[in-house]
Amino acid sequence: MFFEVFNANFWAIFGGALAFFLAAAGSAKGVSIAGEAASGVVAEDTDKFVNVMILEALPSTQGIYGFVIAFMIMAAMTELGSAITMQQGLTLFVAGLPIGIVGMFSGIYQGRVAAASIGIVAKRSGDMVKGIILTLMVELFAIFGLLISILMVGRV
Amino acid sequence: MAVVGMKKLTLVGLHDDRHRILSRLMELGVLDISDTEINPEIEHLFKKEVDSDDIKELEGKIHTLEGAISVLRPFDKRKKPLFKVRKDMNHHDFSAVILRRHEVLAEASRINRIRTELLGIKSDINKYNSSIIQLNSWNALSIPVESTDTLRTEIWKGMLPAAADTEAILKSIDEEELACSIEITGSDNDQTYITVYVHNDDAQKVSSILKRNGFSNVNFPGLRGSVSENISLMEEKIGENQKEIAGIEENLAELSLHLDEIETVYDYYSIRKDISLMEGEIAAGKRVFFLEGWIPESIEEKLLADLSEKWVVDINTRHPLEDEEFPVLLKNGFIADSVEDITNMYDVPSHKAVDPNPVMAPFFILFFGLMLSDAGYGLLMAIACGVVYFFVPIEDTMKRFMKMMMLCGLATVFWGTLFGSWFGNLIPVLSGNPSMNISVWFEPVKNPEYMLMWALLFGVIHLYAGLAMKAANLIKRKKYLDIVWDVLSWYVFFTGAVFLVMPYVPAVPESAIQAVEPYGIYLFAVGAVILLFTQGRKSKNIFGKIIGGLSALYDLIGFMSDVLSYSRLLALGLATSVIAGIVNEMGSMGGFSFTGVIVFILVFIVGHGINFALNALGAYVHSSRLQYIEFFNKFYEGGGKAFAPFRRNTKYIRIKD
Repeated sequence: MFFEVFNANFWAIFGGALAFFLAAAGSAKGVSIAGEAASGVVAEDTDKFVNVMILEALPSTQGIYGFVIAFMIMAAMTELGSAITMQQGLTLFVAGLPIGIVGMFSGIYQGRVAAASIGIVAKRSGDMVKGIILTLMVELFAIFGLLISILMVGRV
Repeated sequence: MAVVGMKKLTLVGLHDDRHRILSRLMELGVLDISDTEINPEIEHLFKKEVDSDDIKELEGKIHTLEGAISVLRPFDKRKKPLFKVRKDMNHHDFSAVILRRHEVLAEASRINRIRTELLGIKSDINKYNSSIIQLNSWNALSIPVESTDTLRTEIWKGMLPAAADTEAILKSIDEEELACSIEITGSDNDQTYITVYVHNDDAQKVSSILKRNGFSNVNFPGLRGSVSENISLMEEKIGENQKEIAGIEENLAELSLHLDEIETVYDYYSIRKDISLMEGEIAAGKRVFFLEGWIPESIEEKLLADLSEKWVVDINTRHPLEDEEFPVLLKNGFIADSVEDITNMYDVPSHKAVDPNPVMAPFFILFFGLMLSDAGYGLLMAIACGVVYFFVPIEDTMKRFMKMMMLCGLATVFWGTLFGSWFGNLIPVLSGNPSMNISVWFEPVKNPEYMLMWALLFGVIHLYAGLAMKAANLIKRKKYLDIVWDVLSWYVFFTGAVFLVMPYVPAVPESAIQAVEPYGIYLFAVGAVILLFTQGRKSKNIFGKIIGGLSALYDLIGFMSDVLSYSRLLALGLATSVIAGIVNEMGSMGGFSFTGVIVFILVFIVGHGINFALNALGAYVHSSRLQYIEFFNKFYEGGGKAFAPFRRNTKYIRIKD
């Protein structure tokens, strides 16, 4: 009974859902942290809008990565069709986890670095690039998460 | 294609010509004038004279003009170009405007006065509005607002906090049988508005009861008559003021036709201020002055001829001394020139080092293309930026940026074609056969592991190019032996490491592994030994040498993580095409009907628009990052001072000869 409801398809979908939900939630949190700092800067100086907007947008990529993986899992399910085995379903579930979990944490932490970097822009707009670099350091781990998830989905 | 050679120039001229010579230098805009150092031997002859009164006066005028411009800007009806660009103006027109500068300045002061007047009227309106709000709470007041007493009574108007129990207060006053009547004239969320009529004898007692409950008195200074009379009077006044504002604004709109002139005069005064500031930086004697600066070698002759033709001057030039720092001006070809601003955002290259732009440019552009990786997006971007670059008048920095984006767009078309991605899988979807393969090379979406291998390989090539740049720097400094220790040995070491890990990288062809793996261990060992013995060589003591050597081996981990960092080339590229595919799929859900086509077009524009914007931004920042962190890390020497010639730094106009 249990495995009739929680069958292979369920686990695969669950994995895709987690990949997107966790990563996108992380991005939402990260962007909002950066956005709060950004609004403060814009309130002082409207000309810095574009600079802070770019920094604010940086933590949004985790959500995109989660989206990509969720979609790839669904594509894999379509390909496997009804022949999907329990093991394949569970593997797809696990494959969604790296980008989901890493995406969530890196999104939040990247948002914090982005907010701090917006502080750089508030003082010296010329140094925006340095802020971007610092912020991108965090992103690397989300990229690794995405990559590992992609490779894992590819293995099923 | 490189750092431009500079010469140090010393110019001695007559004091009387000083202003004109500086103006001419500014017009030519080729000399980076240094803050002149007066050495002690001639200190009694020369000094720096800053005419701060003159500068202050000029700043005052600039401030006036700036104020006038900001007042008039909202009324500016001139056609606004998409990209802000300074207006070209020839000498003749410029002089014509400048002749009238005093009139223009007077007009600017007048505009500033109008602004003050306008602000006064606006604050009056605010005052009336807030009074009206206050009076509205007293709408039910039945007596004139100014009445405060009669022969035997006192009348208080005031407020009790809403939290106070008004009923209880009335009751307690009643119970003490005080000669007092309280009228509640209104209330809102915060207060209850009351009017108190009290007999003089009981005023003390009532007052203390009310005070205890937080009563505060309200007066209406300067007002007479009933509340409603006052309100309508004020509304009338507001109406009058608004009419007045409309009149003034009409006037300003007319005055805004003079913006061109005001802006020109603004630039004229800021040029004059710059000259005055510069006069304070050069050495002035009684009869002569002298200044020092850097000039690009190629223009030296022209400047010499130009100045000595017009004035009595003595000009000497010399090459920079060994180890003397000179300002860095880069001169690059069509492609390398476009990424100079990316490099300068990181740091201006050192005058001692090789200009990295020619090597960086192809990597930057190709990596951008690889990460955006959609031929459709690339084509749109290349066309849009190309049109702006070739046909729209824009400032130089913007022009370089547009050129770079155009090239990046072309690179994107290149990769997109290889990967068969035109707006994602639009062509296969429209043709009704989603699994159709139109790639020239292969589809990364179908085979990400293969793409990962290539991404890492591109990374290795990029890093090796970085090491080659280090060799180029060493050659420039003639430290040939260091190339063997600091570059070649790393090549051997890293190549060995790459060969050794190849079997663990997915999708590497078996034949390639078999061909190179046996050599891996030898290269690795040879490289490691050389590094172990050489990397600590600059250290003085034996421990330093050992630790230097060992820590160099640790750099292997840095190298590996650098290479892994290039996996973003795959990840970002895939993200673009997968999302583009989702957009196409969502759009085509409506089928081939009238509404279906409309839905498709809407989804197409919005979906691809967002996907393009996000991924183009991502490609731009990540491609920059790969240069800054991975590439520059291997060799870059910044800390240069950018060549900043003394020139007309204008905001609104460009004077053409």
